[in-house]
Amino acid sequence: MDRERKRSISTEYKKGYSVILGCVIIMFAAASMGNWMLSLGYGSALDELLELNQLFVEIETANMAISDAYLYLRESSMEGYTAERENVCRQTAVVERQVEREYSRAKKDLACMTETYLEECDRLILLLKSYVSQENPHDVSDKEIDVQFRATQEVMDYINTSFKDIYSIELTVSLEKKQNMAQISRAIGFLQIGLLVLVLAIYLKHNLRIIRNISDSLSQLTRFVECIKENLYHTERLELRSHDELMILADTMNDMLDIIQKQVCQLEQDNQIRAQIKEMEIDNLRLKNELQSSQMNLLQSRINPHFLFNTLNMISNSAVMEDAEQTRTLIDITAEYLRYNLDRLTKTVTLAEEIENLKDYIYIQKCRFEDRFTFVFDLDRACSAQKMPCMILQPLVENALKHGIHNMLTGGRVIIRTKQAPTCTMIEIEDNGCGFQQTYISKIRNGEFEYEKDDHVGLRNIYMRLKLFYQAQVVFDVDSHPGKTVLHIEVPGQGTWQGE
Amino acid sequence: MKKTKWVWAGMLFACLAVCGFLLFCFVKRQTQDTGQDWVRITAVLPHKDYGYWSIMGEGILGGGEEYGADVKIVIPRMNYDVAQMTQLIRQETAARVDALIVQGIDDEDYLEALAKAQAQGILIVLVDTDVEGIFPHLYVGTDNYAAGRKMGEAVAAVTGGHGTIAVLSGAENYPNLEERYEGICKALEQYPDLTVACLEYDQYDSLRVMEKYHTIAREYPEVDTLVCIEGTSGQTLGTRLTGETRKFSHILVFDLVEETTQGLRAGAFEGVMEQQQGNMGRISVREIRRQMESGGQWDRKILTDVNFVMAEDPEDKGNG
Repeated sequence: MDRERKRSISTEYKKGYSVILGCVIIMFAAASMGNWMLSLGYGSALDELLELNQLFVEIETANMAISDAYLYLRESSMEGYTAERENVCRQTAVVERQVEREYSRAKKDLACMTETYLEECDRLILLLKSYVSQENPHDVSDKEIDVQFRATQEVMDYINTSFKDIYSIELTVSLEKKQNMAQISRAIGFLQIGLLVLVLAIYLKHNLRIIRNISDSLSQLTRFVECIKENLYHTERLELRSHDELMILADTMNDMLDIIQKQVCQLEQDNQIRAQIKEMEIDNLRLKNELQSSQMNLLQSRINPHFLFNTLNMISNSAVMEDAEQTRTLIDITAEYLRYNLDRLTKTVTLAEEIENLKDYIYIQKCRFEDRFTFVFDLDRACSAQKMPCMILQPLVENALKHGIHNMLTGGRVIIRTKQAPTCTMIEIEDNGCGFQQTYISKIRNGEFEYEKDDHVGLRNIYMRLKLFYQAQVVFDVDSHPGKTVLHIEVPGQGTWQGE
Repeated sequence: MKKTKWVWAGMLFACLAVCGFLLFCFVKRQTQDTGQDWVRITAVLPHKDYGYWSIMGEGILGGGEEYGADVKIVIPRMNYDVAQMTQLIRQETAARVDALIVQGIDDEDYLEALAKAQAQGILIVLVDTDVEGIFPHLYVGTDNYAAGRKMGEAVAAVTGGHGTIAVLSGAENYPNLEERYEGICKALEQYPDLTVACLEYDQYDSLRVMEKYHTIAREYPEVDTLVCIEGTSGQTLGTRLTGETRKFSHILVFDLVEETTQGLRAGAFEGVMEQQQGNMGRISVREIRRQMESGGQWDRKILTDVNFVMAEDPEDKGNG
């Protein structure tokens, strides 16, 4: 992470600025050093000329003293020469040092000529002093002094010539130095410009590289996001090599995409499993329905309803012709009962229709058993329109008759009760027979009786049909003991009683 | 990260290079050779002729560079102005130079100035022309008598041993020229059909050379061969004549320089006597250095070779 931070965008920019700063410092140092050297060079050249000029002045002064001493034999001039000689020697030493620093043939010759001149002058001064101090002036001849004086002036002429040559040379050399310095100055200037151009080139290249890296990274990021937008299951991952914050962003986006894709896959797998379960349930129900339909069709195929109703109609007509009114009524009700069974068996009916059919059944049973059993209806008109499967109530009453009060010679009673609750319709079949066995009641209450194959098949079939019809929202309970058995059913929905 | 290191290294290098460059310039300026041990030599040459003596001067300067001596060449304003040359010698004596390279001229003041210099411990080298019987000195130059004999043999060769000859010299009483003339005469003794009709002097002046050339042609019609034993006449005729315009059947000259080479190409001459004047200058400087370092016999002669260059081979020859 430290490494990434070092390569961050701001760090890259800082590097560029550092390069610029460093080069500015270098250029400033070069300019300062160059200026210092140039001023030193100019100063040195000027100093050398001034020193030479000072020597010339000193020699001229000494020569004036010599001339004065020769022309007027003044002792003060001879003393003056001695004083000036020191100055000339001192200044000659200065020129000698110049020669030691930077060899110059002309200066070396001048220094030597000066020494020669001083020697010639010394000889002349000695002669003059001898001439002035001697008692007999003829010990030192005039001619000898003249020759010596001419010798000094001859050397003085050479010195003057030499000075002229040296000035000419020095000025030429100074011009060359000036040109050299100008060249150095130009070289430094070019160097600075070159450095500046180089630095600017490096800086621009550096900045362009940074901008290009950012631009490339952003382009890749944009393309990557567009790919994800088009296809959430994009398998490729973003690989940035910029080693900056954008690379960290790209890595984070990759991680986020991994997490999102995993979660979406998980959700889809869950949905698939749920759909498979539902499909299996639907298949199961369809199979059951088909099974029931096939069973019903099988039953229906066993009876030729048309033939049966024609026959019953013919018997009814015979009963009318024979004036057997009760028989005719019985046959008509039986036919009505059978017609309901055969026509509506696979259809949805109302609770009122079921009650009407149940009444037909009770009529038939009354004809059979006369007054052995009584049937009581306690009906709530509010639930008459309750939708329900066909043939529910009749088998329940038949079951109470068959297993509850069948053995009672008198006093057998069955109560059919309906009641509309706010969210459901309650149906109760009560009898005063011998009741259910307690083990079977337990099976009903804990649901085991759904799997029973032998006992109370009719009751189990009714329960299963109700459960199928109402999507298992059915209450099916039995409260039974000898003398009173109540079969309690609650189905969802509500309706209006329309029958009698 | 490596790239960044290279950038910083480059900047550091640039910084060091700039500082180094400036320091180099400064130090170079400050530490030029002081020349404290240099030998100061002055050559007083008779004139700047862009020929023989100029080549001699180049040789002396080359010898200075080669053997590590500070050489200065001084020339009088007028050609062969002996009085001014004497003044120059005195001036260099006053400057206490280590050695003087001069032409040997048999002039009293000239030789006196040289003697005074020699007495002060200045080494004297005479080049081109020697003067016998004076102070100890070194002579570096041609054996002029031998060169004259060689020229005589060349004349006999180009004329077939028959003809009349005119000789054009420089100034009168110049020992080297007289020796050359003697050498020619000695060589011609073997060829009785070759005679010298006249001897003229040009005084190292081109106008005088042309005047003498026409005078000889006019006053000595029998002369068919002109021999120039001094350099100025060869230089002058080399630029003035061609094979068609020359008035003599045979012309032979001294000193191979640019103008005489031009004359050879143009057919103005049959041949040129080449001296090693450049080599004389170099040898002079070399001997001065040797003498100052190790001493030894100084009063002696070093003779350089001469070579006769014909028209067909000037390109291969040099002046030493």
